[in-house]
Amino acid sequence: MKSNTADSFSYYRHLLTETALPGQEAAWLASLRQREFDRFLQNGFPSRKQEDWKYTSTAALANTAFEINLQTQPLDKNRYEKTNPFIRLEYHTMVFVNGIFNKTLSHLDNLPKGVVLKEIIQAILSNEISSEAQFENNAHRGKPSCHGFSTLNIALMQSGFYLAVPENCTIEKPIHVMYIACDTPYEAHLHNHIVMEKGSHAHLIEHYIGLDKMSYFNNVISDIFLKEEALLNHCKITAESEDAFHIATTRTTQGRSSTFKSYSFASGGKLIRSDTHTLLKEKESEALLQGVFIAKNQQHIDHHTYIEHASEHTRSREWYKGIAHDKGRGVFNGRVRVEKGAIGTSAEQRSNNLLLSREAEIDTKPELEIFNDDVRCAHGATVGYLDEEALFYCATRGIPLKEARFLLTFAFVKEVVDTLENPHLRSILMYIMQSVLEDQIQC
Amino acid sequence: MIEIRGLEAAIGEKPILKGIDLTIKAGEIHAIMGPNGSGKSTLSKILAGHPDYTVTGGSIRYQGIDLLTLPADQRAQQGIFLAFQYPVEIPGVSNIYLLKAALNAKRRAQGLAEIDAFDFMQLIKAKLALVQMDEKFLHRAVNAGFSGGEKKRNEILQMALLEPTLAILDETDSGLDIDALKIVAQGVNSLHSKDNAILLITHYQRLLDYIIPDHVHILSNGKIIRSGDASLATLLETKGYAGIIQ
Repeated sequence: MKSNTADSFSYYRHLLTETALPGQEAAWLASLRQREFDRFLQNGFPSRKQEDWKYTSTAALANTAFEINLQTQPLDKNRYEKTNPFIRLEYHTMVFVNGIFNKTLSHLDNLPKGVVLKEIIQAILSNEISSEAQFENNAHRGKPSCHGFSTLNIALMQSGFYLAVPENCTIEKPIHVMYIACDTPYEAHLHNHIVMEKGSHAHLIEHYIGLDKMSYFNNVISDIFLKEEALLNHCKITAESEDAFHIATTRTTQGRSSTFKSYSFASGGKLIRSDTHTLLKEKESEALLQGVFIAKNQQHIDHHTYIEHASEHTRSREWYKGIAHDKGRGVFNGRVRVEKGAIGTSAEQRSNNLLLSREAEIDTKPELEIFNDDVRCAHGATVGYLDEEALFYCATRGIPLKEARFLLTFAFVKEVVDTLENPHLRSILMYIMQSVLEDQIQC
Repeated sequence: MIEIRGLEAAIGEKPILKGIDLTIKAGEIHAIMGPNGSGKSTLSKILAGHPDYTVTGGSIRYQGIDLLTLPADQRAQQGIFLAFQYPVEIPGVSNIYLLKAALNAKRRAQGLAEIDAFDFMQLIKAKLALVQMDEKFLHRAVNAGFSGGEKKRNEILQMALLEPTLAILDETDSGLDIDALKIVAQGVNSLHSKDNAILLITHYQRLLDYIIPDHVHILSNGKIIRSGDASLATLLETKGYAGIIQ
């Protein structure tokens, strides 16, 4: 249904015209939706002929037809509480179930004064986002993060969240946004819009989690605007159900001396594409991009990153670690572009990958495009199996092979998780990965 | 304790051990000396159960069991310990985690309950003192970024914790300065008792000044060509391998 055929276009036309998409009262949004849809008709879904989609076929999405869910999906409170690993920590929490905001389960009472955190369509209807110019992340227009899925995301945007942190405001507790999938298959076009004003600090956890064995499709855009000296710690946990599709792009535009720390942890899902693009637009801005993925069974997990150094003395550091098991397939593509005027730039990239079976595959590719001389760039990529000598060493200490394999695999990802500043988040991620790995590693 | 009879082994197609006979009784310290390439390290790896080596002939009986039928982890659980010539670095795994996992694996094999965190700390602190290691080593990744001497002391720390019946020390003296050598030797001597045995594999006589062996064997081209008491090592020191082998 979603391949580039007349059928799929008419299917989406049907979704656009027949679905009572919310926010139609805002005329600019209705017109933007139509224009984005026209773009989608022109370009269709990305194909493997495009360099950026070379390793990832969206054909698996092709013959699956989902409906956009517009009804509030009930979720039992007990089940929700078991699903939320941070429940006792009382983070500022927004809960979406099958793409619809669930106010009852959310916890938004104690936000600092001036902070706005609400469902995005509500933010549009109450004029917090009042125009296309304010809504659009124009600095990324025409760049690799604009593709069939991103145009469709805006054309069919159904919900998401809007976060605005005022000048010099620090939100102490993390904000935890949960997108829970359960019970009924659906397709959701989720759009998040985050504005960090000058000198503001926040910690955001975007958490996608599937509870039932079913197929569904989350198509996500997170647009992030960091003003001067703003700091955002952004952690994306993608723990979808095994048969789920998840296509997400985080697009950040950074002001002077701003800091963007991005962590992406992905496991689960049939097809996960999780991209992080950041534009270091103004001088001395800094981005730290880290991630861990674990692809097992026949899963396909693809991380593409794109860092643009557009101004002087900008810094970026990347560290991604991937594990593929069974017939799992992983991709890491790290593109770094250093513009002519971006003197004094430093960019560092590391990608380490571990194969746990002979049939697993990981493709890792750095792409450096450097247009000036005053740059310090370094990159390194490795793909390998567990160290046989380390396994033997553990065995000579009496540790059974299965336990040793687990120990070494866990240690491999732990190095990245250990860099997270929030100890609760660290231990919860360790727990999540431990259960993914324990389930998988056999002699 | 262990009886090696006519042991032949190869790595790939290449024969390395060509008929080794060696009997070690409880309470004894044996030293195997030999030039580079004589098969010393191969012997230690075969005893520990390294999967890359193929035993092509002979037998090893250890405490009444056919050792060659056991995988490496079970040999360790039965009390065989190999101190590595080049201890492996394991980034991301803390020393304390490995030590505890190793001790618990052995305890499980013995039908004992896993040790609790408090008892473990008490125990490991006593062992640290033995090799004069600081507690902070427990929280560093296994051997990662350790100096040569620290790595070797860490091996003895593991040995002290696991209390092996047969400890094989593969070139433990290599890369050690004299102070570290003394600490390692003191540690080994204090762990030695009438109930366990130690097999020292070494190229030089130096280590044997500090750990006095009951028996010395000279290995050359995959065979033990001469055995004797500690004085054989002294003789070797004066005559060199060439002098003895001829």
